[in-house]
Amino acid sequence: MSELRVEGVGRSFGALRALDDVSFSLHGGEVLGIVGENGAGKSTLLNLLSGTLPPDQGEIRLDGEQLTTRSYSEANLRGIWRIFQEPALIPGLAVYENLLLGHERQFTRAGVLDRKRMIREAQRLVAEMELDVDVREPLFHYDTATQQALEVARSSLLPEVLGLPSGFVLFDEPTTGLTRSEVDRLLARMGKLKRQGVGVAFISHRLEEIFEVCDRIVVLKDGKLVGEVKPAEVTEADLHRMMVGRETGEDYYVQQRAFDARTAAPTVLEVEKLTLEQPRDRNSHVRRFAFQDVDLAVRAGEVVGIAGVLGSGKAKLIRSVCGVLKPTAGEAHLHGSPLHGGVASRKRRGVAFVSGDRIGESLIGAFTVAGNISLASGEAGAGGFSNRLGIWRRRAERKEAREAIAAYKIKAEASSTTGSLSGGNQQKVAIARWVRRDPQLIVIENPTAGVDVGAKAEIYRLLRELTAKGAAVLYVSDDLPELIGFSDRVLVMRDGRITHEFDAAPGHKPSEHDLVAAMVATDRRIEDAVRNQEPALIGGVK
Amino acid sequence: MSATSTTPGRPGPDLDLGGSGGLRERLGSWQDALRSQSSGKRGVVLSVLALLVLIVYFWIKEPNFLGTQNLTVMMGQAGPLLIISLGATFVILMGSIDLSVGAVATLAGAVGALLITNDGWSTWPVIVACVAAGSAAGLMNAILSTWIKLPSFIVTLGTMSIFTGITLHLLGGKALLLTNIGFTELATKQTIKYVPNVMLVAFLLWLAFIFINQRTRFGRYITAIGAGEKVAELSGIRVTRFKTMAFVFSGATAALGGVFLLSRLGSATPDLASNYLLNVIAAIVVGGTALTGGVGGASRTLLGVALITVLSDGLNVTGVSPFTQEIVTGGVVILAILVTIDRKRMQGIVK
Repeated sequence: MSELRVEGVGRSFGALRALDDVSFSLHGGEVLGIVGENGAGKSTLLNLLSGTLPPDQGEIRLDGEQLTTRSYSEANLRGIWRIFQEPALIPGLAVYENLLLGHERQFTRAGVLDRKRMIREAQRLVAEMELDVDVREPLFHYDTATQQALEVARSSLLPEVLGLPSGFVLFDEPTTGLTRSEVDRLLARMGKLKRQGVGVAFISHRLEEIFEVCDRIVVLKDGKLVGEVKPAEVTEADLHRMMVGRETGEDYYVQQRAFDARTAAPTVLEVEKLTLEQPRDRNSHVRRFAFQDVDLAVRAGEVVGIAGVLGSGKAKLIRSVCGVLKPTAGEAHLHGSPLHGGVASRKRRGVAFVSGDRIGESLIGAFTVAGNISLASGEAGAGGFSNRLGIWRRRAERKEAREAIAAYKIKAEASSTTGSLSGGNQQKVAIARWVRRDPQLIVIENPTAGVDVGAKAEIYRLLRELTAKGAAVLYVSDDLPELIGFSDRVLVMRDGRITHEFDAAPGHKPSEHDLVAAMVATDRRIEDAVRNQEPALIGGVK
Repeated sequence: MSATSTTPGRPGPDLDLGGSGGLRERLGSWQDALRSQSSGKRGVVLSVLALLVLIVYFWIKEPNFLGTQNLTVMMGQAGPLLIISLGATFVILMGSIDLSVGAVATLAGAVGALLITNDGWSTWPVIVACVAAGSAAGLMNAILSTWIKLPSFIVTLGTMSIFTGITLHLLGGKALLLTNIGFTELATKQTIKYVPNVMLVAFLLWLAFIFINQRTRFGRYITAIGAGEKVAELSGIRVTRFKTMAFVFSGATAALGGVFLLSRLGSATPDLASNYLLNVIAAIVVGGTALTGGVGGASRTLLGVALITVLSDGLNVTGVSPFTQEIVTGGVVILAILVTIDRKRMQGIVK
């Protein structure tokens, strides 16, 4: 059985010791969980294992022989594969070109690519992942979660297709942004690899996933290995304690219900018959809707979460509420008067939007923490960062950034560039940008995806402080415990409609099973109606 | 495509500087501050060094290179180039490009020459009219690229040709000689001894643009749009409005540069500023503003302009053949970018 052995490995970046004297081994036929807060050194460790970064202390041995690969593709040839946290794919290329990227040589005959064979192999990969994807379409036609799944397909299935060795597959937070059923499929995939004798390393922030599939767990903290345990011997709370040196208490989700839904706090957001029809395909008369006739209301002080599988329309719905997308019918009202225009106009009305795509849509990595916090508040006048002549108030900007850093425990300086921060600290900066504007309604996508336990609690507290002041929170999430724990109410979307509503007040929370059952098809009539485009019936069975 | 491309665009090692240790956190951000500062300084130091090397070289070859007469000539050349480059710097900073600046400057020169010779306009109204014409040209670029959402490269490539055609019509394809002595003195008169007014105006404008770039909302938003347009849009910044302003700025400074060029040369020709486009882009990029946007700014464009001017004038003064001049200029521009841009920070990705 093959063995990947890490012996006293360390790595510094300048004065920062990212990884220090770490030793463990990964055997073929097992799943090893690697856990730790953001900044604990997990990604550095994977960079060392996958050949993209050399250690400056210790060594890595593959079956007793020192591993000296200098690039990821060299590591591939030695049988080491990795699934990256953010898909390393190229949007403009077709799905099949992406899946086989870097391995075109295997499909070349006399210098010409055999595209038919590439497409066939890609279709096989996609089918095995049970993805509904046309491999000839360009990648950007599919959303982040699908792209993530394709990345998984590429790294975990490709060795088989290409006939390359697949000794070890390293999963770097692959489940971020995936829905529960996709996660299940991914975990099953890991189990299958393991049975084939492959050694699997699995990094995840979701400890329940770690417990579900791992045979062993190593815990990193501040670049050091602080524990190696068997899942049966510990609880989640034990792991939390090892990772952060503290336990997540009862009030983790900070749900002190400052209001009672039944006492009719004023309605902040009211959405009526909101509909987004998607552009029709060429030569097709079928009308397709991202979501259709959605009604919902969020009261002051209330946190409403929306659950739904990929493609349920939940992301497009909340993006339409805050002006990123333009709905084709229906209206949204804030405090009784209709919302118009794009993000800029709705921002003035007190609507805030925090995108789930931190790198592409939420933060400017090259800007400082101060520059990112001030970004949405450049207006002149009270609270804005420019004066009437349009001159930027730099001193006020720095001062406020320092206050936010202290108040929200952001581990950075006002002058640090946000690109260098960990996920949790980045997300705090992204939310701080809007919190300072005292929004009436804050709309968030996956508020704590890729965020460590400590920062999660801080983000929940930050949002709860807003609701305490009468704001409303509307968010979508793929994290079921979060939806259940943090929301006051959970809505479930399926095929563009809100099909279920759960009261999630402390004491009578829905179970994960309740939500999953509502999210996936359980009612044949709904399935058939959707397939046959019978809107009347879909509404009827609701 | 090579096999190594399996990891395209992968950010470097995950530093996670916001780790949980207090010391680590302080070291991390200290390092960061140092790194960003030193890279900015490094670019400036190397640019200045390259400039000094060139100056010393030309001075040794031809001592008159640093004579007051030649210095005045060089400033007369650098002035219009700097003026035209300033507005274009903003457009490049926000991640777009304006290829029409040379054509706009030429057009403004033609408009100015016609107003002076045919209609007898005096200096100030001519300047205002030309800058207005240039702003209108910039607005046309803005409407096509930011409102109708066409790529600015293609739009300005097209308008460059359109503006050139309009100029040819206006001038009937011929040069138009100015007879108004007052106007020709506009650029060459020396308020400060040895410094032609065009350089003085360019310098003051440079200071103003640095201020706009670094201290105003417009400057901040332009940089934000260049560094992350989607982020800016989702932060509720009216991206279209600020992009429009930048294109109008670019048209206005190009026209102002054209007016000074007309004054300096004393005649409007259909190729008044035709070779300015490449010099403008070279000056901006050598100055350290990335063509991808979001990095750099107006302050360092001065260095790029100085380098280009010293080079072209120096080669002339030292008697290098015009054929060889072209080759050397190209080589030095590439070399200058090679030493000034910190390629390590670009993580191997060059566009």
